Amino acid sequence: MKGLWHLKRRSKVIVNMCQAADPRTILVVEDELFIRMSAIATLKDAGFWTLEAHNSAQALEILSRHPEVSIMMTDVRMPGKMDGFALVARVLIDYPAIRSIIVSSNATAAQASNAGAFGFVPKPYLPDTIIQAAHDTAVRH
Amino acid sequence: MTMLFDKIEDARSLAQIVVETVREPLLVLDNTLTILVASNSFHKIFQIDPKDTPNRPLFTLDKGGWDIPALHTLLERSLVDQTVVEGFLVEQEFPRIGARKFLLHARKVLGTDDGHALILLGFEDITERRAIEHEKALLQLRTDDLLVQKEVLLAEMQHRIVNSLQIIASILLLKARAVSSEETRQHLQDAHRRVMSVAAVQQHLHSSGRADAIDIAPYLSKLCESLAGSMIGESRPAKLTVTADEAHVVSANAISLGLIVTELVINALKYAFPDPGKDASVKVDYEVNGTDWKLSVSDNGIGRGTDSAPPAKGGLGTSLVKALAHQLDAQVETVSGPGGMRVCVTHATFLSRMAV
Repeated sequence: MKGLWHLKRRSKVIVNMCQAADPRTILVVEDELFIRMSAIATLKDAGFWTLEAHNSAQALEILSRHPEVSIMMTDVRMPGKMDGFALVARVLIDYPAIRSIIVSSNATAAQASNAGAFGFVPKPYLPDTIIQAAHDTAVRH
Repeated sequence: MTMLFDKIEDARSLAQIVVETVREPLLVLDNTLTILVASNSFHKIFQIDPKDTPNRPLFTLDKGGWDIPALHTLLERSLVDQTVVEGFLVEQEFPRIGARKFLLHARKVLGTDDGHALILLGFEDITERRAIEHEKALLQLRTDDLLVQKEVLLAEMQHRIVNSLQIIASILLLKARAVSSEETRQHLQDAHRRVMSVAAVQQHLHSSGRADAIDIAPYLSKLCESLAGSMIGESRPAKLTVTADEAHVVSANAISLGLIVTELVINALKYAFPDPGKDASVKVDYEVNGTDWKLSVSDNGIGRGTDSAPPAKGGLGTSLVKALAHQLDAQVETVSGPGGMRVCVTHATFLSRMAV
């Protein structure tokens, strides 16, 4: 864990210098605290660098400050004016290089694809499932 | 000649009797739209005195209450165009009986002695029928609305259940990361698997669009895929296979069956193969025969009674299996030997007991 933190901090320094997206930097957007914490811990353990947001507005604010983000993993139903589908559509326009993964208990893969998502993970999911989804997305980036 | 007049008079009398006795209100009008004959049902339904109708112009009936523009149109069309008019809708506030809806049927028929036409005017009261149709349409709309509401509520409930299970699973995993004791971590991870086992039922109910029953074969396959994903790896190589008859199981029983499979597979993978290099295999089988069923989990491991096996009295997993089997009105039987262990959970009636 400590090693990953070092890697993350070093990565941020490099990002600030060259403003490049990092294929293993993920923004996790999830309003449920424990689900978000668990997803972040799982992805960190798998070697990803993570950022987190609890709604769409915060996600967009973070993306405006972190060009290193290359993957966004988002829930669908969240408080605020914009749900996960709308967020994915907006990110596709504003940050076309970012690939989105929709994680949801009430959406379908077809709906996620229509919104412009690269991947879909149904809830409830196992830790390995989101690692695999993130890995597949990073590899194809 | 006299006989001919008699015959005509007889025919006229017969026609009058027919008109007077028909059940639907009926008027016979001349070409000036004066009433010649009115049926008894006409007098009764419109509450008009029979003395008031003969030789009275239709539009002066009931102090002009029948001077209805739509009726003018219909009768003029009938007279001028020589057509049959069927189902002409008239909605009118009638003087004595209030608001009514009638379908009018008009037909120009044979002329009188002086060559003038007659008009037969029939009335079909559809007031109640229309009211019932309207009520039925409203009921249908309300039913459709309630069905939509039910679907929305079901989807909302489904979402909340799955999200809650994901929250519980997340807390267990976070806790498992935080504890220092390896044994506690294992217990927390087992609890996580149990939660995911219940969650798998919800996922299948959602994907099948049903709220009451689950197709057991894909459910068990998905459940074991999930267990294999979290327990089988490089450090613990094993093959987990599922065979199941085609059957639907009510969701409450599916949860119990899923938890039994979870416990037995966890036990097998944890204790049956102390040697990681062994060609380990765990098989889950579900058979159905009418209302009877048998669930078995078998492995080709070392069997019970070794150091790595769970204690003979049984741990939490064994107790859970027994309790869940009792809930399903089923018997648990364990067979263990050098070739491995097999646990069967059988639900059978006295009439058609399945061989264990």
